[in-house]
Amino acid sequence: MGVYRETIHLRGAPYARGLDHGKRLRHRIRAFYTQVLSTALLPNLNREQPSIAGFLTHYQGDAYADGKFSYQLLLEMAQSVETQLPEHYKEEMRGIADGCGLSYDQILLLNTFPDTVLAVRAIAATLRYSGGPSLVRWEVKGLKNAKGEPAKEKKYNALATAQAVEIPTDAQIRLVLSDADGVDPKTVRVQLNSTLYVHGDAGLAMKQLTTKEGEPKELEVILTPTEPLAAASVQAVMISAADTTILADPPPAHARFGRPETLTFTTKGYGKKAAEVPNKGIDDGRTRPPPIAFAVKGSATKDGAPILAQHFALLDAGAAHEGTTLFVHHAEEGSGKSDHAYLSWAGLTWGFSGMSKRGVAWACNFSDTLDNAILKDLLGQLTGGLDKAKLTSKGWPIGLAMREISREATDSDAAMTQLVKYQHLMGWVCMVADKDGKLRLAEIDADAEPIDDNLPEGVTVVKWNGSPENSPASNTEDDLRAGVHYVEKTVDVDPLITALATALLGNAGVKVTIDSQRVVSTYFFKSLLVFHTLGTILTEQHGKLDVPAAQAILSDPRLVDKSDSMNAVVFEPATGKIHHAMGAVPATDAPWETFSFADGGQ
Amino acid sequence: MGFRHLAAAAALACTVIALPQAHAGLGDSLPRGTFLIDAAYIYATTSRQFDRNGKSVPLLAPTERYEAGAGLQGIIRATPSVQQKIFALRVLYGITDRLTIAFANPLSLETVIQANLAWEPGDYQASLGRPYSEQDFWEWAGSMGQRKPVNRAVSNKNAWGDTVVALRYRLPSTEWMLANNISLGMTLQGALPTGRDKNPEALLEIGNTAWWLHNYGDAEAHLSIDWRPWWTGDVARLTLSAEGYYAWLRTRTYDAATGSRHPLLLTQAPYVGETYKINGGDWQVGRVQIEWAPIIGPTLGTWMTQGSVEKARKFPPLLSLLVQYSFVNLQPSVWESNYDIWSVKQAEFWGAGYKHIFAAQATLSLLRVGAPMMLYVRGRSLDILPGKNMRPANAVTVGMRLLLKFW
Repeated sequence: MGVYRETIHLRGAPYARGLDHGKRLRHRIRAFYTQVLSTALLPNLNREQPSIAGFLTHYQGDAYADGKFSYQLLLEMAQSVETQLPEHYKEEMRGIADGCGLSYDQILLLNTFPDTVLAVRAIAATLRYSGGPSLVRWEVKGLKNAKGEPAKEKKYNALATAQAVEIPTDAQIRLVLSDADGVDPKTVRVQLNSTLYVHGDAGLAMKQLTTKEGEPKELEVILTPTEPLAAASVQAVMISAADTTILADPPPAHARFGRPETLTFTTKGYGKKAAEVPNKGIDDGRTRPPPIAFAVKGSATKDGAPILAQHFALLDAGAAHEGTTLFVHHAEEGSGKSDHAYLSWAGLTWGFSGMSKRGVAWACNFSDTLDNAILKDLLGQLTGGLDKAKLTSKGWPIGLAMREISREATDSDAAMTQLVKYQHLMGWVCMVADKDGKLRLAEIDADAEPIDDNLPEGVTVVKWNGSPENSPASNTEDDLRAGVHYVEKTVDVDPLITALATALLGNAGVKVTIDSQRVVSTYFFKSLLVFHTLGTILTEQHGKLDVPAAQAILSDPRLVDKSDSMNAVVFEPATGKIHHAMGAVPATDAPWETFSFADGGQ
Repeated sequence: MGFRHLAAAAALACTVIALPQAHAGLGDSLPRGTFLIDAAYIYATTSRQFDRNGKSVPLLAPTERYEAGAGLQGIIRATPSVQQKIFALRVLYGITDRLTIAFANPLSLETVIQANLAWEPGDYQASLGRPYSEQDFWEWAGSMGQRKPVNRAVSNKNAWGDTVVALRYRLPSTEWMLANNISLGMTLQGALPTGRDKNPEALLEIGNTAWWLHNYGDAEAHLSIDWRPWWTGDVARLTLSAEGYYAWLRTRTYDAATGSRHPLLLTQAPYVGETYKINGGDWQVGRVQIEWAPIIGPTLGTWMTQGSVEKARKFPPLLSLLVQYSFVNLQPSVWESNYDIWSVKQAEFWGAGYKHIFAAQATLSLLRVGAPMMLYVRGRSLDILPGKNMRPANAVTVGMRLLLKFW
């Protein structure tokens, strides 16, 4: 496979730099649009029209017929995003469109689809998985409570920490799955650490539990490990199952699976409280790692200088790597703005990571949340009835918000302050490191809460809080890491959104529980796995980290999505250097190249 | 994305001028006023290609299929086989004893491509509870308007290829050459664009032009030498020949696929451009040949020689056997489109390379017994020795030649 990447310097007024961009990358833009949107994402999204138009009947109209649904839907969402954007970005997009020969609408869609599609995806994935079995209760047989009595069955709640501690080494774990259509025992898959149990295996017993009406809506799964559990150890259990129905539309036909759940326990002698034991997840050998980012400085690095690194993965679709580009924007003289660079793709006016010449580096990972602009906009339309409601999303694509920060912010704190000002479209976790070593992590949602409540606002800032116990993303004062889950914003969805979802999805015949990210996101447990793996690596390499070490971490197979890796980057904000690998899949298969503002940014 | 251009698969054994004389060297000409009509049926087949490292690989590169955001669905592995059935017609005429003109055109009876699709599952899909199976993938693709390609595609039915016109001149011999039975010949030939091109929207199809058949150039210049050291009467029992030639392929312009038939697998025009060009890359060929006449056979005075046995003795032997080796040096084919990355990928198996071609032929000549015809069978193999960046199309030819002289 070849390696494809460009470095493009852009100068002048917004339209002029857009025009230059469009002309120079004309064919890459057209290829990116065709290969990622026209022949991949758009037709795939068209398949969702029946389910979406089932409750939002506006989408049954002629404007969305004949395969135009996805384009029209995303364009309308893009146009609602556009209303929030300053003129200079619109001008730049006009320039790109004129330069490459695509329409302005196509370029607008190209520049907004990651945020809008991720927001749609968060809803669609919730719908999909909520139709499958859910884990509702669990019990450890043999576990005693504080009074020495047998511990009772507990309602299941997805946690980033252990469910129970100090369980006996000969414990049986009882899990109860529920589904309105019944759970198919043959689809049950239970993994205890690295040991897999499936239907028919010794150690896995299953029994249908019937309701008062005699309907088999619950399945009891009892795991009796074939070997005693190791004493004073952490034990993780992953369970997945499908119901008894077959979902035929859209194809391919398949059983309706629920979200795989991971539960963590400790055995006797481990000696920690549940809240002190992280749920580190299980590598089941078939999970692709989500993006990661980390920032280190001071005692964590060899020379004390700050480093911010990210390996971003989302969708390559076998094509996006051909359009990878490092854009370097040179500020207009006298504008007071900073030169800045970001890693991106042909046709986009932003990226998922970048750095300013002033030494403010940033990297953003998507973070699945239902607290997104689509649901926020829907709330406002409910009074008009679902037949008129549309999926719109007013707000800023994260990349443009971060580009504004690149232009203006002088340090990490200023970046955090500025980030709060924008209405965000989707959930993101954005890490910022400045040349002075201030490391910050922003947990972002659309702040869709319709009423004043105690939930966190749109941006929650995570940083070192004096101790590891109080710093959920740091081992020490000098490191910070992120996967794609929130570590502090652990309750992100207002109950009213649940009510809204019930209203919407009731018509579609689906019962949905919408709660916080940890309950609904399909990325949650995957993120825990990479987050803790990364934490372990950072601990092991504390004090030894430099650019090559950071690059090696980004190439660690445990952290690399081999199919959808998009770019990898290491920033040195103190020296203005950007080390990037992109243009291949995974991105770290490409050789690393370095760009430096210190060399005149040329 | 999608299937790569199906490599030109079944190059033909279609040497334009191959003379049925007693002196059947590479540089011989027909006697003045003589027509030769050669009709042959060619069956050519191939199912693999040699890549840049000389490694045998399928004719189609594997195609990775991704679902946006859901990773690798799987890899379509096709191991197609291509069969070409061709009727080759050649007409040669001796303008003078030294100058022969020839016309030739391969008429494709049909090209059959068996796709032999296979599937390698990709990433696990949590929502399906399994990786995509082949059936899953095509159901998914079908829901987006992409049908599964047929496994057997027939094209080029009764389609003419590019028409070849050639002139051969047997150079004057010096006394030394005459004394040593050495002769030189020079051939110029060109192809007229009468062939059929591939439908750009078709996945499993090839064209029938000189570029697709990859067996003769748009223009060629040959220089050949023949040495006949062993004679029995008027019949050369052994002919040793050698030839060198240069073949030039013109740049061709093709329409890019718009996705009208295969929206997911074959949509290129939006970024490649409405058309693209292929500069086929020229060839330099060196060829050696040995012909042996093991059986001269009976020689009769017949109507063809007005009853003269003496004249009949100049006819070709009853049986002659020929073996031939050609080395073809391939210059790279250059693909030009708006999108350089696509062009480079397309040219992956069309870089500089070479072919080793071995051929053997047995010819039964009935001229000496009063029938103006020769029957021959020829076999050709391109994979006895691996080549590089080429598709070995092995062929069997059965043909008949008629000699006519009207004055």
